[in-house]
Amino acid sequence: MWLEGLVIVLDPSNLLALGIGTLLGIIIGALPGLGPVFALTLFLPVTFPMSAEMALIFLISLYSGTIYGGSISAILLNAPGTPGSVATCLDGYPLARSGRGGEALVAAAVGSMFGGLLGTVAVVLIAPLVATVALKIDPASYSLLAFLGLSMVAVASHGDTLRGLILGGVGVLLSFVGQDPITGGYRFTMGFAYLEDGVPFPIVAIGLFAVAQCLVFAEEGGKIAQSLDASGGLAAGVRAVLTRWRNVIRSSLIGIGLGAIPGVGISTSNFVAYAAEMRASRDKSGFGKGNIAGVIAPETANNATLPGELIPTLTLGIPGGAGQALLLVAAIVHGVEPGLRFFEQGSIAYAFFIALFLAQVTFAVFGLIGNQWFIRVTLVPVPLLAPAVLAFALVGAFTLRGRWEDLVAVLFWGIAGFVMIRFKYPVAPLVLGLVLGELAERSYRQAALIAEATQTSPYLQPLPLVLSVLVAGMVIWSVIEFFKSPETSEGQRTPSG
Amino acid sequence: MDRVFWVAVFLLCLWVVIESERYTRQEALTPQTVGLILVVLTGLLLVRDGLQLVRGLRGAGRSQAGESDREPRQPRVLPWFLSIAIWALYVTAILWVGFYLATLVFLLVFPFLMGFPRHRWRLVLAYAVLTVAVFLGALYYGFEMLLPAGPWGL
Repeated sequence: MWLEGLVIVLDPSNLLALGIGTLLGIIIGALPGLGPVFALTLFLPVTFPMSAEMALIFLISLYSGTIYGGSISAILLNAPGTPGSVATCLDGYPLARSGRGGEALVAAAVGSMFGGLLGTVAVVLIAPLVATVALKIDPASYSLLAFLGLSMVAVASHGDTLRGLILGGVGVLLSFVGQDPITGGYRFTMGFAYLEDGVPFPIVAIGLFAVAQCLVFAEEGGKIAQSLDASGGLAAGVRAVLTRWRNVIRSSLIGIGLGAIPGVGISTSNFVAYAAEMRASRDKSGFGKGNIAGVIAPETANNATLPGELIPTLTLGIPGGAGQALLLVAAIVHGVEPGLRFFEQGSIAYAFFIALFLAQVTFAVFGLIGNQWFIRVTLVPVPLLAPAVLAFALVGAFTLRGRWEDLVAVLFWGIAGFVMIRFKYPVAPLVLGLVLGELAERSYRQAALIAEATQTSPYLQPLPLVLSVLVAGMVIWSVIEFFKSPETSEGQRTPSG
Repeated sequence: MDRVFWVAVFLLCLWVVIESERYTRQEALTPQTVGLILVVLTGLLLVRDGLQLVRGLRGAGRSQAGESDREPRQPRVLPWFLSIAIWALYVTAILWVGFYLATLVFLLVFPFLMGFPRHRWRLVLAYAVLTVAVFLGALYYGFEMLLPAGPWGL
């Protein structure tokens, strides 16, 4: 069957679809605000006249390319192309500013490739097993997973622990806006119908990163980098990934694991992998200032998350997010039934995974070849870059939901992000709080309802107990870090103004 | 400015705690708990800041607050409030005259407001031609399905 699948993928027209899909994905992913959902929505109707094999090969290549493409604008412009590249900005952009953008781009391409390859192998080998385990995760474990992610706020604060904790909390508060996850009542909407759907994470991310960065560009002028590493950083980037193989394996496992759990996904995995790498690293002070490990971890994790997300999508028919749902629609439209018997539908299932595998290699090749040209963006005068990035950010913001209010919201968050950049407040905790707040509240309250109904604590089961120990460990470590951080050991950080 | 930011955060958290009273106990539980924790944390931050200010005033005769954090002022190409004003105008124009026309005008005007060197006429010409070409291409391929078009279909 694998051989038949390989023959299908190696058909010249299917190979062309794979190449075009990957390239289009990279281009769309690299445009700030336009992520995989936009790409799949745009190209899904295009696949209707195609054969089922070609359509699935094209769409999975497009999806993979988009996730990798998100790293390009995150590194070069501090504007994440996809929600999965938000953590990449933290170290990628400082690297680009110091002229090492080429090295960061290469590391992102190679790291993404390894993450995607390991993820694909994992899907093929253990998909039914992982899907069964993932489905057994109860609300108590979900809430603890969210708390585990939230406990990493301290790590993402880069030494500014107290401020990071407060901003993470503000992010959680923002996630409460809109419909109550249990009762359905509206909260904190201040009478605005727009807020009834909650504070949309992609809009906040586009504003806080892309628009805020444009404001900085407009104020400072000049260029992003004054000079470039003449070699383009090819060898340095590849070496950086190969010498950090533990980082690659850890981040891949995080990506696969979080991807397999429906509803967690790519927005979370990149942050968790970043925080885990920072936790494991000896040189924590370098993070946030241009540490290449801070690029490898989130980029490896986000590309490993895609195959991870495919596990419940294809083996159980439960999509983890909007992108997966579109992929599921495409599969069903083309007569491929998802479910535990996915692999029993002939060679098309095998062709799909071989295409996923090859797409990882293809985008890495495109990335390594294109690196020399991508990097030149940092030498373009920012008077030309800023308006273009802003225009794309607004296009991305509008196409997400087709609501004009999002254009105003993105500007509001841009101003908020600009204030935070100017006063050096950590932006990542706010985003992390917003991403995980809803999951934490919903699952915690579901667990509380279960406890009330059964009169037993759902937190006393084996998996919740293990996760509780992990959360406690992270909190204790954060407290120790807080007392060791410069703001507490050197007296207080003096405020400005 | 730093203090203004944290006072605003403190007031926001306080508002969440007070506003939560309007909802049922179940709906208010998590926001009120998180809000209260943040009120305490932000309050601690502000008290710490206040104590430091008093210490600074007693010690050096004048507050050191702000001095260490404030970076040396660099010449600004375009002040932030002017950028925001222009961008707000751009967003308003999108809603009034449509995405394409507003974006075309914005892309052709904004770089020069930021001090793009007009004497490099070849670069200016290349940029203008590319922008107009992208604009016409987008119109030709009918992306108005994705973006809001204005009264003239632009």
